[in-house]
Amino acid sequence: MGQTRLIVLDVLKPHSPSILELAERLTTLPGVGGVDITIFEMDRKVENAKITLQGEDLQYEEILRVIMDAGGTVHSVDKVQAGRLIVAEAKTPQDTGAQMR
Amino acid sequence: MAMRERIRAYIKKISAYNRISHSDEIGRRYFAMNAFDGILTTLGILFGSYAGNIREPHVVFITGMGAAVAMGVSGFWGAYETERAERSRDLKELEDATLRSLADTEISRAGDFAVWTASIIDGVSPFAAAMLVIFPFFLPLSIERMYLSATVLAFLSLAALGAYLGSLSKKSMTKGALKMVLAGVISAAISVLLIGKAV
Repeated sequence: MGQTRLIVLDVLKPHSPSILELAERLTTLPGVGGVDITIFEMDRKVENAKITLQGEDLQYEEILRVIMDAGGTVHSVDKVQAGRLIVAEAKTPQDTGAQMR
Repeated sequence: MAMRERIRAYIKKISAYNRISHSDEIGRRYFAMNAFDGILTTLGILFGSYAGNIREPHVVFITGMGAAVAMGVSGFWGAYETERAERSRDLKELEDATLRSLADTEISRAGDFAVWTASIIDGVSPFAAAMLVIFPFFLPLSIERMYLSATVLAFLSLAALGAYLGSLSKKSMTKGALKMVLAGVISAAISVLLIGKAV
């Protein structure tokens, strides 16, 4: 079974527990090597966070359980990298779009 | 080792609940408010009993204990219902904002923790304060000395409570203590005036 090495999540969460506490809890999960949480939108009661997890063998169900227990909701899984190698996103003509001459 | 780990995990969980629900702040408020109630009510019972010429220690003690139990139950029940209603409303608002049920999450558990701690503090503090004040009626003293030491104990408790509040607000402890003692003096003066007219 392929190992998931990188997951990027778009999460809506209450202010408490803080991202410090959430990051600490996520790093205690097996297979998680490191976590980055960035707040990109702040509301009165909630905040939107981009959570990036990297490790040898990330367990998505466990990650989801920790986020849900902290009151968070995963809006989308924005990026996943799996396998023996970290594969960089390939550039395609669609990325630059049609160019007018 | 496993036991120590378990205790550490438990403490960590409690402090996380505390950070989410701010239960320490509410607990401090309830403690001061209700201990104050307990002391003043018992002081009233002391003055009333003395003016009513009650010379049997067990009568004063039983009356005081009855009031202490009633204040304890009332404190517990009142805080439980009030906190439960407030916490449910907060959780509902948060559920509306997160667009999901927050039942059985850390947030709802932290809310439950705050409800129980507030209720226990609200129940125990007036009970303990009242019992402390009537404690001399348990000692082998003359009835006059019992009344005197209970009154002194009540004013000392008020001063300690005031000093605690003073230190909490990072203001003068002496001023805090004097303010609380003043409340006791006013309560005693009104009691004496009313009882004096009634007797």
